[in-house]
Amino acid sequence: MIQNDQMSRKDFFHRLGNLTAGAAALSLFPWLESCSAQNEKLSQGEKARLGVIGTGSRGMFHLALLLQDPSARIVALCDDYAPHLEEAAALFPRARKYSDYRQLLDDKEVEGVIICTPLSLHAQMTMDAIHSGKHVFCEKAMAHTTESLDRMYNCWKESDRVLMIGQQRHFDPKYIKAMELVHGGAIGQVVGIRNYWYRNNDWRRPVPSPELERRINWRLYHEYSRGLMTELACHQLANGSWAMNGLQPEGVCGTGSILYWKDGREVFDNVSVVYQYPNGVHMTFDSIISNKHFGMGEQILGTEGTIDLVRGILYYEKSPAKSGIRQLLEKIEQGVLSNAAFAGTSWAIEDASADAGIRFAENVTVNDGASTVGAAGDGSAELMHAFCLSVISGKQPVRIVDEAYWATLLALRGDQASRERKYLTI
Amino acid sequence: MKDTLITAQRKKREILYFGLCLTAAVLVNLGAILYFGTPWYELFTQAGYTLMIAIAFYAIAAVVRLVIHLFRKA
Repeated sequence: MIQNDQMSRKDFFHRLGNLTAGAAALSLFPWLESCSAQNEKLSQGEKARLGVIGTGSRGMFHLALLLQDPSARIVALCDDYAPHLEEAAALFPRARKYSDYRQLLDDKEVEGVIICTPLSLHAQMTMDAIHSGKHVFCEKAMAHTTESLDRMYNCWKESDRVLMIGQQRHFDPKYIKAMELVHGGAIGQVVGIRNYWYRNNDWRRPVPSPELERRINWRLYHEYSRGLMTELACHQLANGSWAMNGLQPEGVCGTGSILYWKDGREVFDNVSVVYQYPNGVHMTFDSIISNKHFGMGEQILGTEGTIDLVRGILYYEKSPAKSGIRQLLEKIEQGVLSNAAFAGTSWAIEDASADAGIRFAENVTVNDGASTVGAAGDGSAELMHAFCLSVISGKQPVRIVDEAYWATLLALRGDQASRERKYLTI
Repeated sequence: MKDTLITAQRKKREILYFGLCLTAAVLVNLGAILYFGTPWYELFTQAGYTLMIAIAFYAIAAVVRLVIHLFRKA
């Protein structure tokens, strides 16, 4: 995976399809300015001095990316779980090691921190880092309660520090191209947004001894996480805001349960949530982790077409027109068949469109859902590189925190609605 | 098996019949273009379909002619 993700500055621009050069693209995706050619040039030869807090699976994923990034230098590592810290230290033997994140924040050499800890720690660690004068990259979701989310957002707003959140789709060339198509009118009026994420695994990590259960499998406990909503939905819900050009839902209803994995977990193993926008559009999120047949999907539905964001395919509602003679022959054929007496039901399946679609993104990678860490080519490398450039320049990428704020807020309100089984205003 | 002789007059007649069938097929294509409002260039691009329809017409005409011939003979 690391090999596939090797990234030079040239590769980075190539993968973004030179989108950052276009004024139209920058108006739709202003955060890409942070990795513009100008910023690249300004930061040439410089390295962001970074500290990583939390060197578990996601932290190691980012460290592997940063190892390949010419703009990054890892100077400090922190984890309160020794085996994880040692694993990361083996990769960066010259980095200083800490078991308390506050000691890392006191390290004067560290310019920016990357926070990859359990969700419940994100807000406090981010605020502490900002107060220590560090730039911050924090994994998504931003926080596990709406109160801590607001505190974190306001803390950043009042500071002059860079904050970026791990919403890698915002830097994924496939999603950027898709949103260009949506905003360029390729699918007509947006009338629906459909997200689903199906897996068939218990979402557990191996635990060496029982007392570490809650620390390692924190995703399964309400004290630390909001389960499927904050860990999976948060990514997909960001698409809605993006497709609706900043318009946010006004309400949400949902439901969920622990249906199959009755192993002491506190978060749902299946949820269905519906968000309603002021203009009547609905966005859905549906997830089950005991059946993976349909995998994951993120679809923007328009009056003239559908965009499959995950697979990078555009489908038109109407297939290209057939020639007159073919239409005539089909009409004759239908006329002949309609006169024949068929037995059986008059009800027929309304099948999906037969349109094969147009692929607008190449090299789309898929996996079977067993990896819960990250995937090659999903925008993570670009996101991490953009953070390095922002640390060097000190410039905050525009609108990116607001996008992440809304994605987290929607995830938290969706979780609340599904637990309370109510319609909630947002 | 004896040699079969196809006269020049017979050849001319079959060419005429096929020409009529081809003209009818072109007219069908023309009608379809007008009816469905499709582009005029389909007169050329759909030539394959036109030829297939012409062959179908010719085959139907051959069956009709055979039946008439058998009636006359009887």
